[in-house]
Amino acid sequence: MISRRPGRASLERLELTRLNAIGLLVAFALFWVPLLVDVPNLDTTGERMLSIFLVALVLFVTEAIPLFATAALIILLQVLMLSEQALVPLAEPAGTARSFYAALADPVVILFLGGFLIADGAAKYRLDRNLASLVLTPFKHNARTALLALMLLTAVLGQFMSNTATAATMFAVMLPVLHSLPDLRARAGFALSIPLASNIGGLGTPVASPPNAIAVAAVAGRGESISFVSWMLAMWPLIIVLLAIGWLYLVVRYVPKGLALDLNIERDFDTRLSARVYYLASGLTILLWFTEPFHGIPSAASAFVAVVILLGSKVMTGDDLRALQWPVLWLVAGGIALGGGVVASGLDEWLVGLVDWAAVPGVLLLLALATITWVLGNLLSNTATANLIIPIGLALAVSIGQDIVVVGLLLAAASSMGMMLPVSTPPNAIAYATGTVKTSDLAIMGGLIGFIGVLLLGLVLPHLWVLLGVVG
Amino acid sequence: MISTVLVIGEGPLARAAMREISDDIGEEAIVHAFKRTPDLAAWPGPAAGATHVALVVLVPGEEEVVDDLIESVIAHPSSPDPRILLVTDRPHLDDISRALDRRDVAGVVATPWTPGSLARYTRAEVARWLRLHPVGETVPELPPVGSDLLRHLRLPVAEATRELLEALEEALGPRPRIHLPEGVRISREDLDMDQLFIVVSGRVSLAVRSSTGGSLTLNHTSTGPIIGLLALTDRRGSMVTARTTTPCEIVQLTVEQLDKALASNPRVGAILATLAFRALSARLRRAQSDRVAKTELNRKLQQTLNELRQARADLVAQARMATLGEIAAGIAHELNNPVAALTRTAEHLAEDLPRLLGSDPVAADVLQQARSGRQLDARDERAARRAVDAVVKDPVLARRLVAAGVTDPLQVRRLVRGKKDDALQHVELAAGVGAALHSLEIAASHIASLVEGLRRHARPDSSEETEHQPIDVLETVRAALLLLGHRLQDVRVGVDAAPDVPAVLGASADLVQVWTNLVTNAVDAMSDAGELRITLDRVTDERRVGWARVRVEDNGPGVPAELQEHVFEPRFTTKHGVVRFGLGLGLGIAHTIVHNHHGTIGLESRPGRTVFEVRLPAAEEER
Amino acid sequence: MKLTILVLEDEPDVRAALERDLEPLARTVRIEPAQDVDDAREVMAQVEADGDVLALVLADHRMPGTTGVDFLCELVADPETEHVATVLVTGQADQQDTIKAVNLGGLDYYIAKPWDVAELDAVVRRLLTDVVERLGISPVKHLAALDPVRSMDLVRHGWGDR
Repeated sequence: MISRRPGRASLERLELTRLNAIGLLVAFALFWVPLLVDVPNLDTTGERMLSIFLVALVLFVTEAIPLFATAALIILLQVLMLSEQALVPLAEPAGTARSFYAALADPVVILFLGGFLIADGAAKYRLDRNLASLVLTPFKHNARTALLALMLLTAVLGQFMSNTATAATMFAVMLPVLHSLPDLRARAGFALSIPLASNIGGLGTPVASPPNAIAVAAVAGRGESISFVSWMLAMWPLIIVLLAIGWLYLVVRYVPKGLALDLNIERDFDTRLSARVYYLASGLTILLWFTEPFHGIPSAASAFVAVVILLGSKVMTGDDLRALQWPVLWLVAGGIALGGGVVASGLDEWLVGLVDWAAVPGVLLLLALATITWVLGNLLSNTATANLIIPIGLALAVSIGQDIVVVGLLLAAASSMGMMLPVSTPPNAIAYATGTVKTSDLAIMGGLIGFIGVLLLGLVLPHLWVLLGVVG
Repeated sequence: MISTVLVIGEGPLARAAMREISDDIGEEAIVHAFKRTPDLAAWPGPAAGATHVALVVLVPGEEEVVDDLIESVIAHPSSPDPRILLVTDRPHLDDISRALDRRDVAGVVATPWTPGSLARYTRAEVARWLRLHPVGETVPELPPVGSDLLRHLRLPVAEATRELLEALEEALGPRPRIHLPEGVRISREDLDMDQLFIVVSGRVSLAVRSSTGGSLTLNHTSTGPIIGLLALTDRRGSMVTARTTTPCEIVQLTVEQLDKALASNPRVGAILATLAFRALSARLRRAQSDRVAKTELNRKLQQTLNELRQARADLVAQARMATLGEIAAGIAHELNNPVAALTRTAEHLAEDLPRLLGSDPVAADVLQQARSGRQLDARDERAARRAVDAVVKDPVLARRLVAAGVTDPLQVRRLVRGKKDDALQHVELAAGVGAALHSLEIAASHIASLVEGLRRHARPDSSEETEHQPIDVLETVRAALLLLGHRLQDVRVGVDAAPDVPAVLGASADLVQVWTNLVTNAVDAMSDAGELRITLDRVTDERRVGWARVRVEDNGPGVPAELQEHVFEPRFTTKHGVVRFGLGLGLGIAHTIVHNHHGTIGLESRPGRTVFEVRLPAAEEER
Repeated sequence: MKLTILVLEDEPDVRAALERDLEPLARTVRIEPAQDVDDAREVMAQVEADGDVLALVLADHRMPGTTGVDFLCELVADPETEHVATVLVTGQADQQDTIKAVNLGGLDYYIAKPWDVAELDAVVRRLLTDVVERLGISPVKHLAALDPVRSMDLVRHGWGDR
């Protein structure tokens, strides 16, 4: 595009809204409370971790500083307060500084790194748009089936690409088509389907969205593991049901019968050698992910295979590497560090002990957890929600004898289903910002899907997972 | 007075020439001798009382170039234009072309010459020079001619004819004289002519048939006394018809008689030849001068033809303009009714629509406002939008409401209380209708003023019908400025009126029109930073008549000098098939009206200052 | 923070027409009319005071006082406003003048009157997208006024998951 003028530094001025200021103040104040006030039943390590947790909670909720900065802050505070390098030394450090920094290179972060590189390659070689054209073009004479195809495609792409990238790609493909659509309601229907399908699709694999990664990492931190395939097995029934409901809702409410689409997306599969290497490398990686039970190569290692091949063959370059969404990786790392710290400091046990969970029936407990997570997920970033909820949720699961894999899956899914507001997820924000959908459209759809999803998660899916052998 | 003769050259030839000439002419001329032309440079000039050099006898040496010699001779101030005789023994001369071309050489005498002839030539040339450069009263005679031919050629024709008759009668005996009345054809074109007539007295005209069938008289004067001579040359028919134009006396000869006379008396041949020669040369001269005259005539004819063509084109153009003017006036008249209908309809609509909208006061307001054609400037518009946006919380709606003319927050609140979209649509419709009405009225008044202009142009004297009243001129100026208010927003206007401006007799509407047109013209000419100054005062002319004077002055770019005399000509131009009233239909009308008021209008213009000055006779003077 | 489009045009009718044709963007982008260059400066000060960002100026070619060309060239030359996209809206396409302005003045685009609404929309979206990219600000809030395809690329690359 135009490169004649550099960005203007003065625009990056410190924007300190009132909410930001309050967030910072409250975070600062809360930070000192556990340190200065003796918390009953909590040792010094736990008190320090509680300080960090409170700061993270407030900053994640208010977004007083960027989320990834909060993530970095968590790691920094852990190193300076909990490790052997603590400024005020601890008799019994919760972990080494190395172990806290390690969150930045957690296997899940590596898995994500590979997933991002594959996803960016899809954009670079226009695989995503070509696939969209390939899948959508046959349905252009019937908008209703085209909508279904669009949603399925979005959900499938969302397995491997971040929700944001998926939504942006699909909007790039669909917006010109939508602008030529005279029916405003149909326009809104199509525009709604994209965030819906990419959010739901984000449940599908461990690399599909950050909450999944945080759940995988947290579960792994407690000695259990969820393979790539078993994650998919667990989630896809839920995805199919929710997509079907979403499609029916959108069709009935927005897309009239007999509407045709002016769909002329050019399709031009890249056949250069580099593109073919890319297809091969990403295909191989996905295949390795799917076949993990047979060969036992961890998914993170498979992802790194892709990284090595793509960078080594110069199919993806240093520029592409630089352009990766490092903030997201750091945010995930922050979540992992937070979870790790909560466990290591014993804070989780204290937190769980605050309430007498035995009085609550198990089923109701799961339903309540799912609901709380979903509500938070609507208000906060899904990743931030997962960062805050999952460590506590897993601790709770341990304390009441629930399967931690079940709880991890449930919490990850519930946090991804928060999509009632424009701010809930990036795909929602994009859809809203294109001006094609209104907040009320998003709220009703997100409410419907979230309600059904939470019911399914709390009441049906744990039993199904046992039946499918995912948990055991 | 004594002439001056130079003999230039050296050698025996030169000396012989010098001797012969000075012996012969010594008493009438002073002869100077020079050896070489460069010696001339030292010569002080002719002796006192002698003429300039009349004759130079030049005897060139072997190696000398005659042209150069002659040029150095005529370069001498005392011999600007001498006759030059070249005396040479060269058989060929190839070096006198320049001198001949200038006609400097009078003659060439080859050696040896008949003794005495060089002196005779000298004498003759000196006489010729004196005839060309007369000194005093006496013009010397040229020496007489000795040969028959030259003598006959110089004889008067009648004399020559008489000698011919004498010679003929010597050979043939007496010839009868034939007497003819006027109008007898002696020879006929295309008929055989095998006889000869000698016209003794009277006149004969020659004529040929022209190609158009009529007969073309050649001339009288060039008719020689002998008719039929040419026909003898190739035994063809006569070339012309000869007809007596006065009673004539002629002598007739057959070819055989002529033949006999020629054979027996050589004088007949000589005289006949000279007469024939003279007749031919007369006809040749005549033909030449005819040809020159004809060429000149042709040229004049072509010029006249061109002028005629131009005149015709002008006439056609004028006729077309006149027709166009008529048509325009006719159309203007015919347009009056529809324009009146348009105007009335617009007014009716503007009255009825608010009543129709009675239940909706906002819409009625909006309509009226849009109809007024007033537009907010950007600053006010932004302020209005901010105010409305504060109520409706929607920038798009705010823009549209303000664009429709709803700026009052109270009205806005009332509007958005109900169904926003419907209310907005309603208001925008009303604004659209109002704007349409405004356009309609503007268009109608535009047409009306054009029609009025055309009507005035076509019948400029119509205002004569109205009674002329004493009018306050200042009042009419003010009225004009009021009328033009909307056009004067970007112009500074100043009016200075002297206290003693006299009233004038006239039609005030007409005068308003004059000022309107002048001011409009000035405003059109000026850029936005224009300044317009109108001054009124009283002036008295040299006949002590009082006038009201109005000067309309602007600081525009001025009227180009070549256009200044035309600005008052009401004219149409047709360019690319479009009728334009470009150059001052308005000024033309002003001119006409001022003229009808017995006033004068004038223009004085240079870049930066243009003044139209109107003078109208003071009312008291006209009573 | 809103991106702002300034419509600088002395003819009220033309100004209104331009604003009307920009209406599809008006809920996302702030659109301010101005009738001359002084007025435009006033608007710029107000925009700055409101914490908004001037992103694009559509200026008429000929205006009383400072011409649109001069004004746009000043904007380009000033480091404070060099990010602003500049569009000349020209009535009589006085070739030399226009070419000079676009080439030497570094203007981004010129639109001939009468303009084509679709062209205007496309150009404005494209240039706003350029500005967003140039300034490195998040495109998300302004998506409805940006080029649909390119803005999504920006979203993909510059704005990650939270």
